[in-house]
Amino acid sequence: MAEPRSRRRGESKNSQKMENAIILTIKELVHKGRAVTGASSLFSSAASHSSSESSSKNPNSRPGSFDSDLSCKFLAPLNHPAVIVGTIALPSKTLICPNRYCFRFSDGDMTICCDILKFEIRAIGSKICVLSWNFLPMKHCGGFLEIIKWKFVDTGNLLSRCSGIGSFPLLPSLFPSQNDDRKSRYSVHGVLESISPVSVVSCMDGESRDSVNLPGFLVHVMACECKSYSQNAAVGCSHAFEKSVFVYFCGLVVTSWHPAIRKLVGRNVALSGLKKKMIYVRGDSLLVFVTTESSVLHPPCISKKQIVLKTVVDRRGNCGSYLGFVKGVYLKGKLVEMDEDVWLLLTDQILNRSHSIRTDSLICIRNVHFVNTKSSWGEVLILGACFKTSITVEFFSPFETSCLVDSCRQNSFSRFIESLSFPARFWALLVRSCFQKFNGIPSEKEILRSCQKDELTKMYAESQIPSFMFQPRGGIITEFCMHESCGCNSEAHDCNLKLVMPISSFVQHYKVMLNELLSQINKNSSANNCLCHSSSTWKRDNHTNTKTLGSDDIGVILLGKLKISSSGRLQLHDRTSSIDVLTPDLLSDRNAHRIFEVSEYNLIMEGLPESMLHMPFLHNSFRCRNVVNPTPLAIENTLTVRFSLSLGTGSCKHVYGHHSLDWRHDLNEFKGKMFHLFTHKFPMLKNGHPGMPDCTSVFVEAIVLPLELICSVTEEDAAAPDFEEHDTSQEIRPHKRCKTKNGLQRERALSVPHEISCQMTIRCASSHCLVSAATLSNLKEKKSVNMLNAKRVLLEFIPECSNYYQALQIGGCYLMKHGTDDSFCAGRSGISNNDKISFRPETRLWSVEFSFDEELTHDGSVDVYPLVSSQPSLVEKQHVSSPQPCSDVSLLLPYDAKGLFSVFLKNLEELNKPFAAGKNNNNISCCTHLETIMQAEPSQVPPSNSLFPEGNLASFRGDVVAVDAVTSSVVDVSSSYCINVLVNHQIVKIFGPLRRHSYLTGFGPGASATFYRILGTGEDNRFVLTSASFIKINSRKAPDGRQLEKPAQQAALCLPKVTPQEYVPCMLAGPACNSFSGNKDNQQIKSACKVLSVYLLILQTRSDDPSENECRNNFDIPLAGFVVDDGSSVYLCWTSGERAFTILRLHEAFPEEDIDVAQWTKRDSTRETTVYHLEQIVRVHKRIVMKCSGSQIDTLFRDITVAVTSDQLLAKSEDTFLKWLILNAISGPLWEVAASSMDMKMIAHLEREQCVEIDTSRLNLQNVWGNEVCQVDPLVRAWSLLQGLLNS
Amino acid sequence: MDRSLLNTHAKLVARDIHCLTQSPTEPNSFSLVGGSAFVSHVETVGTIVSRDLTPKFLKFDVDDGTGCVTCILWLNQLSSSYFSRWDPATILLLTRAARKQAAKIRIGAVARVRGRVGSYRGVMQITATVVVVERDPNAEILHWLECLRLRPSYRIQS
Repeated sequence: MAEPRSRRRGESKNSQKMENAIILTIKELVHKGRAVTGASSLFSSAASHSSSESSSKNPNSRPGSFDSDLSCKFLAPLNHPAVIVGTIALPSKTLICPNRYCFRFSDGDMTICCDILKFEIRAIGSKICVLSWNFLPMKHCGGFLEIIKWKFVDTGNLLSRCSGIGSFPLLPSLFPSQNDDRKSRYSVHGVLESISPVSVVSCMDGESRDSVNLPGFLVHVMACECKSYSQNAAVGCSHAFEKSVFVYFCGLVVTSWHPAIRKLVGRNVALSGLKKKMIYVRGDSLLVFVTTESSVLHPPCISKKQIVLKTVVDRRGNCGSYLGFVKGVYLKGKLVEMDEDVWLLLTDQILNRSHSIRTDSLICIRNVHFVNTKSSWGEVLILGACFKTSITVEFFSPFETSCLVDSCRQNSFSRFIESLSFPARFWALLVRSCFQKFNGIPSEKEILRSCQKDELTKMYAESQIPSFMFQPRGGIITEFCMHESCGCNSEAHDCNLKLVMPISSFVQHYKVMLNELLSQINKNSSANNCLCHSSSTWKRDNHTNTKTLGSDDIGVILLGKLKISSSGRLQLHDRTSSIDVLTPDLLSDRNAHRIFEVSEYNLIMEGLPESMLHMPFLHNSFRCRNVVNPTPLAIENTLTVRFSLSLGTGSCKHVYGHHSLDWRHDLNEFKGKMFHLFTHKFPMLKNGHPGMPDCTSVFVEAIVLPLELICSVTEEDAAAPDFEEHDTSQEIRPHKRCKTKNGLQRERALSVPHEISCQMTIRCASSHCLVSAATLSNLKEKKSVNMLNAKRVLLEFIPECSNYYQALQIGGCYLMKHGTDDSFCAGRSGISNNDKISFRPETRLWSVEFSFDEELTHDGSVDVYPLVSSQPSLVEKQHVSSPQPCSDVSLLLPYDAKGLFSVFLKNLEELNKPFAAGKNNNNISCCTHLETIMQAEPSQVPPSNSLFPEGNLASFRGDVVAVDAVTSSVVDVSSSYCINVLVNHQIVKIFGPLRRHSYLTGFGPGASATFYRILGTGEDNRFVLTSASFIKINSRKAPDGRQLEKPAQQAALCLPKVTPQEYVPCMLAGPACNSFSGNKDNQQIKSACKVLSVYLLILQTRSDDPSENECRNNFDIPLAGFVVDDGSSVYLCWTSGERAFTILRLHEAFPEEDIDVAQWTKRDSTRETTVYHLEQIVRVHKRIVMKCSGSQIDTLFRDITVAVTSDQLLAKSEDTFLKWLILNAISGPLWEVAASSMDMKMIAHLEREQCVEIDTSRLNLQNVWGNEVCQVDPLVRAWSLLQGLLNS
Repeated sequence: MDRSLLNTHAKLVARDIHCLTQSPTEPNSFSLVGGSAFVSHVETVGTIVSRDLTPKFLKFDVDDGTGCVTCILWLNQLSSSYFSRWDPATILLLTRAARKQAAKIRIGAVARVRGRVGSYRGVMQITATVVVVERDPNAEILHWLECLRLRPSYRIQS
């Protein structure tokens, strides 16, 4: 701090020691506006106070344990002793402070709020010298002064400190003492137990007979029953403080004593000049002493209390005292974190919260409720503040943390919070903090336009909190005087409410848990000398090891908005993070602003190491701190586990609960409106591609049905739904038989009259259903419906409508509202096959499914009959007595109409096949097991010489049994995975370049999936995923075969392609890499290059333990140098670990025709990768260093040296294999390498580290370190080059 | 003259390859059109339009839309005197690698050819060292764009 404009304190005659101290003025502090501490003054003064106080000058030396946030900054100290001289005063209206009842500190020029340690009543109005202090700037009144140490400036006229004698009239004595007033003759002497907040009582003014609001507060004193207070009675007298007495401090001036009296809680006080008054509380009379104009306060003697610097709990019954450090203040001071899982609730708006309750201050809370809550997510001790609670700050925080400022406004949310029991209050506040994570509240609904987050929280909490957790409030006087019998004393401690968490904290919790588990496993395995899978091993191989946890065990609710990520995944997101979601019944109306509540789900953790699957999961409690303060901890990311949520039917609900508004909105959408029906046949290939700007349209192929739906819903009809029910499954459907007007008798009829009555069930956003009558008709043409008239069209989705494109399901049927100028209507009759229809952003779609009411044959049950060939068969559905609608709209049609749709279905089925149907075409029946639709038998095509794989495309549905890393190449050499699918009791193998990041959410063993456009290879039951393939996950089963949820028919997801941004190349950073990671200034350059030669290759085993050598890939490449060429220059690219594995193409299948390896290879399906063979060699020789100085192929093997560590000589075949490795690397694809340059120092470091001589001067090439390596995606790179060329 | 590109495989389209001129001073070096840079190795991507297999070599033409370049892939490693002092196992390895590449060179395939550029009877041709058959049809377009991008660094004047 700069030298202030100040006076030397030489003129002060009192203190010789303070001669060098500078006297600061309040104005200077406020003007500077900086948080500073003058605690250094402590050193310079001869402290007469207890030495324990000195601890506050050095927070690091404090014995109290605290793990304060590292982001906290210490208050800036002054570099010189500085004191402040001024006067402490009681609060008055001259200083407007939101906290209302703060002490004031004035140095003549300016007045600010203050708090004071070691308070004495006689300090009020006296001139004091503040020796040690903290100053914090505040918006409201300039600043806040925390007085740590002080002394009287003029002690001459003061009594000795411990005399205990002193009288302080509560009112300034303007008039001579009216001791003759007989009414005010009573005295109270005792221990001040508690003090109430200041409240306002409306009463009649005696003179003007007007109603005036008189502030006042109550104190509870355990008094001695002796008749009068004797001033001679000092502490320690034989008084017995057993009588409970209430004293009411009444009037504006007297009330200003509130902060002073609050400081006296727990100490002896005496009050004289009181009058008695009888009040009635809940019908009972209660004697209360009331202060008068002549009331006098006799403060206690100051006793040197033992200050304890740790958490102290003193409990009597439900109430008690708590002394502890504040760890965090949240939600404007309503929620204060004390210790681990101890939370103080300061929810009553009237409570006086001191400014000095800051993070890391030591506070003493008296008369606070102790509420232990246990729930599935953890255990928390809640300290519930009531009207009796008083909080005093024992030590101020040395950190620069913000002051607590009361908002003072009492809104409906705060009233709502106050009406709850403490556990419910705590829960509601956590919810409130979660809602803070949303920055746009839905604007669609009228009610929400005016809604704030408080209101939303209130609405949500009201719907969740059971009625017994609400408690009636009786007002300050009742609750203070009749505390024991009041509601807040009889808490319901069982908190069955699920914790609402931000997504990042939720995921973080499980990441921490998995890391703990992993370290435990590693510990165990090293102890047992077991095989240990290194992290990199299972990173590659165990993508499909999944574990699921049910929401009942987790006990957490997630709130979020739904969006589809750029990679095509449906995600639940809040401001903190996002998580992939699998849901069976997503409403098409995915308004991006709607907040959903996800309460029933299964958390799927994919990619666990094998060893973890058999370990019981740790049941760590959730930390509430992570809810209110979701700052992710920095965790060493050793696990690459993917988290996703699998939702059950109806478990994704809108948060806000105004159902009537919701359905009214939906009703208006449907009332009397006409809709077009179309079905989404097959996704055309998306024009766009990751990496390309999203400015192109996308297309889908669709079939427009020759039908319109007319909804005849009326308000009266719609009033019928029972809005008390939350679950759609409880919805009672009137099984009214709907008849066609001209009854169609036989299923085989191909056409029906132009109108079919049906029952329409509309699923509203609030998970409720509207049931209404509707008509399917062919109004336009006024003639019989003939499904064969369905037109095949191309729907174009302009970029603004891409959201709709993402939402469309293969084979799904959709409704689109009819408009006068919609694309379906314009020249409707003119729509012909292969027309292109454009979608507009304002167009809204609803998914629709069909069901057929069959009175006679199905025991009243309803067949859900979605028009999708890949839907579960009817057999599955027959077990479902009351099917739940998964679509937005469900149409219940008369059974007669089934014929019509079965024809259509058949028609669709044929169309759905992307290849000309073969001779088995007629065998497909809509009513047969659709699981057997794997009719696309791979035709036996003769081996072809074509460059591209040839074969027929197929679509089929089956259960995924296993996903293995590929062990042989089928058609596509780059296949890296083989998916084993059980289709109709036969195992089908699907190969594909499915990489880690193109993994579908929830995909893996146990998933029932439909595979579209899978290429038959000509071999039996062998298929290949192509870029045109789509995988739809229908449902997931737990590994033991138990179905996790209802079939998720519509959870279709297309196979997203890997984007370069997503691709995280194997980050097996070797020690060498780490040494360069510090080179921050080194700019990373990306280039596409090919390998010309392998300059240096070091291969070594990971461990000397022979038992571990049984593990796969038990060798490492600590360093490799590749000569690479990007077309403009040649350089030497150094890298290590997995990146070197990638460039050497070690994970690819080993082409046996290249090299004769028969002598050390046995045919085994698991041993067909290059890496396996190489491992055999490395295992024998421990460490191999290969140097090859030629950079062109003709000079490649001219000067090659191979050195091994083992005693054995390198066999000829091994030598050949190593040479082949180089040849294999140079005939590899183009690699995209992100590299940073290296200087000679780094090369020297590498040489030292690897004990190898790297003579780079011979090649005279630039050295770079390859940080990331991945294969170039020609299209992505071409697109970015084009953009660059166009822009240049 | 700029010799910095001599070790680099210059990405060129067939038209530019045919415009290369033999350096009067440097053997096996060719200067680019109007440019001041020398190249000795090139890379091109195109469709294989002809294939002529002899016992000693495979001659094939690569058409990239701007022209057609003849490429030679030597298959005579076992009999060539050039390799006579080499380790037989290594020669066998190289032979196998060359024959494997030759087997992949089929008419219609899109191939990336890297090799030394030379002039044979007045016509430019590439002695291929590595031939990679591209599976992605976009590889050809990528090559065109790479060629365009690199033209300034090759100092090719349009």
